[in-house]
Amino acid sequence: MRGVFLLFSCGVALVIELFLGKLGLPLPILGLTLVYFAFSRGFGTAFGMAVLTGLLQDFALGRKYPLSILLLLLQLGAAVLTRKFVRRDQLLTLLPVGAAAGLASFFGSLAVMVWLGDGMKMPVMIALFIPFSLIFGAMFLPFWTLILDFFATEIGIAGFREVSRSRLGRNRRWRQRNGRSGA
Amino acid sequence: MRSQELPRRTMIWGAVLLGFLLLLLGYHVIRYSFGRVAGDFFYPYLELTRQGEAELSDLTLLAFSQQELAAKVEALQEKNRALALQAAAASELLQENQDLRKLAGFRPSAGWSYVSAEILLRDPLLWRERFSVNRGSSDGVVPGAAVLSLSPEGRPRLVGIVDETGRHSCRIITIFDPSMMVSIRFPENGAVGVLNFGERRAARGGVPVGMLPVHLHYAPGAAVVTTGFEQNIPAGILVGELSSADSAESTFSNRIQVSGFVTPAADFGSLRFLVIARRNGVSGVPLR
Repeated sequence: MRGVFLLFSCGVALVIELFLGKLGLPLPILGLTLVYFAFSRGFGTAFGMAVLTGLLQDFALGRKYPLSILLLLLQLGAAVLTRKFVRRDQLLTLLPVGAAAGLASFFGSLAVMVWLGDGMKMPVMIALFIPFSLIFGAMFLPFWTLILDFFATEIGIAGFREVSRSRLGRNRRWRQRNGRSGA
Repeated sequence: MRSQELPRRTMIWGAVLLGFLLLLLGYHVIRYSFGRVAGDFFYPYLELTRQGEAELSDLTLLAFSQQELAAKVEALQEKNRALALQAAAASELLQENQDLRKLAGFRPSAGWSYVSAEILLRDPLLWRERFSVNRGSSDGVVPGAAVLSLSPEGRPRLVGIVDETGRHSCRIITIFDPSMMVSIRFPENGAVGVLNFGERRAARGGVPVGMLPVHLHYAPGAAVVTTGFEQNIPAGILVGELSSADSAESTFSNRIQVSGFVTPAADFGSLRFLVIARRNGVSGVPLR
């Protein structure tokens, strides 16, 4: 069931991202979905899905280079690194994580445009999309987590919040056993 | 226990990274094998979203009042009458052309039919360079076929060519893609050149053009049209207008060709509906 949920969620995110891309909106829906799975299922699972879905996205868009895989891994990396510096037990801690993933997606896309495109509208893009990426990433990740958690609970598997809670409980017990204090 | 786990984990991650690197290196091979399969795989889902979008767009018509809708219908009927008259005039010219060809002993010219298409998928990172449309080999679309957009007055303008075809969708590369080289002609002075020729890349909204004869004068704003040298691109389709051209500095210059930039006539920012040219044999409607 976990596998089906993972594949279905990533598939839906991919189709939404392709649809929004057609409208000219390069929003990292798939990247943020993978961030969710990196936190609830582990980085390895998210890494594998990033390769698989990135490959599919590159095929669908007919790209000459595997850009999506690299962009997705960049977003995952940024999110995982940011999460090391924030508390892990609350949904709101996903705000900076989402913002970091959004920003990573923006700078990755910018690098691709500079490399492959003519870079004509770069100043406009930077001015417009940096705040947009930050806000979108920060708002969308907690919102998307709530939705995915709801469906995960409905089908009887552990979502992000449940996994976070149980991980925190384990850590606390471990600290108590080893006589260490900490938040 | 921990010391045994560490090399095992390292080995697993090493294998994963090696596989990942191999995947990146072999990407081109995999793309050619599975690229179009993936395109057809996504087709039903994307077609569904396209239909939803079209229905939503139709629903917005309900926001107009009856008077506004009646005025729109009348305007469209008027436009239809004008287009029907133009089509009748074009048919006469076509007939005359065929008769003259017969008299001169020339082969009858290749006829063209056109199939309308709508954009299905567009890469936001390479917005002006490539996209996919909802027509494929089952609609008689072949690689190399010209892809056109129509101006508000109904004049065709070159957008690009079909790169790869799947059964229900095909991938288009536009004239902004450096790999799309197509011959062009200046009706003003008869010069012929090649679009995207040379080392230059599209810049400031212009597409590079090269191999232009050095002895001719190129005025900015001159119309640029297709030559018809390519098998699947009709002649005389407007590509754009010349924005700038180099000039040979002196009479003693040893240059034999010059280059410049062409501003495309099609509006690449807001493309949605397109027309794909098919060379004879497949049913369709004459464009003009």
